[in-house]
Amino acid sequence: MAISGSNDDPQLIRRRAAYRAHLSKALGVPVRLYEAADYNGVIQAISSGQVDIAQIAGGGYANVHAQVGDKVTPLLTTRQADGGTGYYSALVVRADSPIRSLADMRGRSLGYVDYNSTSGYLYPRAVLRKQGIEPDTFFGKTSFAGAHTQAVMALANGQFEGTILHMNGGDPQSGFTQGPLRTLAREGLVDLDDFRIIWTAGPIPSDALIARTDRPPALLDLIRGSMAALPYDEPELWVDIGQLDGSAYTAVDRSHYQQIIDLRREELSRRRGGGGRP
Amino acid sequence: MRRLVLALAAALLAGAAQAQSLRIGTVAPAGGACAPAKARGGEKAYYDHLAQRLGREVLVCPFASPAAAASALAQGQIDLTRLDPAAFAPVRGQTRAILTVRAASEANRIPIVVAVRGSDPARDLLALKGRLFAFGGRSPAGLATPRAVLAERGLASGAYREQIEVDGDDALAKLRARQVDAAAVHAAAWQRVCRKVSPKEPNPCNDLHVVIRARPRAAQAIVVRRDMPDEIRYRLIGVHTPLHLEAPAAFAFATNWVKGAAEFQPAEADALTLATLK
Repeated sequence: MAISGSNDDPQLIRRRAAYRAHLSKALGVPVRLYEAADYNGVIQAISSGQVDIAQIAGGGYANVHAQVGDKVTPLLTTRQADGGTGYYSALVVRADSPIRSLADMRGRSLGYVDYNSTSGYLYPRAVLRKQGIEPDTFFGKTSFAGAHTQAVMALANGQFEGTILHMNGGDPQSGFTQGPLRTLAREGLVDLDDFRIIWTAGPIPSDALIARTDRPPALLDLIRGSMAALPYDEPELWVDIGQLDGSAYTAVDRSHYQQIIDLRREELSRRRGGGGRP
Repeated sequence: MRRLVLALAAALLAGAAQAQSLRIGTVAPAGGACAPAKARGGEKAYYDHLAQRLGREVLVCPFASPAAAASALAQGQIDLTRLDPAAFAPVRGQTRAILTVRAASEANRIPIVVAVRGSDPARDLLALKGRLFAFGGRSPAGLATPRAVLAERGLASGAYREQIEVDGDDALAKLRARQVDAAAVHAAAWQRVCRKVSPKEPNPCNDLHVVIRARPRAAQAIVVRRDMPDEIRYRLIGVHTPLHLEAPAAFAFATNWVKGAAEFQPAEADALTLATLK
């Protein structure tokens, strides 16, 4: 199983161990975790068949699909208590900044998360374009932080004037209870009051558990079933590993991510056409 | 990794070859012996799908009543059947729920939290008879599911007074402000308000007391013996959860007992009882 090791959320570390233990017990064989240093590591590991399954964001799956098509398929995503199966991107600035709206970000420096990040790159850029803003020319300097956690720290340290982060556990109207800002605040590393959300986009289809389709169907059924049962078999563990209480896995197929696949295709064609940075 | 997959595949295939038939208990007034299904349309699609994915012959075993099917399941004469709480109760010790069906209009079977102020002496639901409850919104998760949990545990509509707030945040705020006696909110709403915010505030809800935390009881569920090996149980879950995507006709037949069925969902062992969660 491949999972991105680039987000320094301790809950993700617990999640890896919990998944490994749960899957090992269900499959009756030890499950090895391949911790990729970045999103691309997960994409290449599953695309090349070095791993059987992976936990990946929708944009990452779209990239896998662009490389190997239906040799990889999504099995599961999470369905929240309110029935939603998505999360949000947010443009965040420091609270002491004069920037109060998206318009104020014109010519300012912006940190994206990673080229393969859905909420930290792909999706917000597409929404900006729909709103009539060309992200490659609207902002001043842009660069990649590498992961959401690093993006928060870079913003806090003044490396960027704004950054794009994922937000979960709520919506723009009621606010959010999960995401890198909340995670770092819970650890005492940042103070929520030091940041301000000035723009959001979403909902974005949530992360997928994806699998190679050239593996035995019985193995895929076993993996899907054992993972889907996790919030019911071990509800305390489900919350402890960072999942929202009341959420559960739901089965999905490629069509659930078609919008993201289309956005990735569009982004790739722009880059091939030489019309983009960074 | 390839060796691991081959070993798993071999183990699964060997298991399938040795496996007995999958005996499904159904209710038919005339009863009868287990036999291969003589079915057409969606029914045939469902049994064929199960047989192909599980590598087992499927036998249909008719019983005169759900109670008779439950008894046969408890005695190991069949492998699974669909039961309601009444038929399940006598065989609870030997059997367990594994799957329920969610209707399109319904939320997940999410846990509901009923809380009072810590100073309130009420420690069970019946002690809250006649008192004023706050609910967190009018969505299925905010209102219908908490009402159902209260009703099935002795607090039917009319046994308490209710006030419907905008969301769970408001419901809990009203409780704290002494404007209501209790709040009934879904688990995600509780988590949103009560999750650790920072090291300075590790337990934001230590002024409240949780009276009960429980999922709504399932109206019906697919039930198997408790000693069914996890591998088979997980494969059954793994085959059923994507059925609406992979085989719509089979799904329509398999869920014809639920109006507007949207998907199979895994279930905890005691889904057909009034069990509580920690």
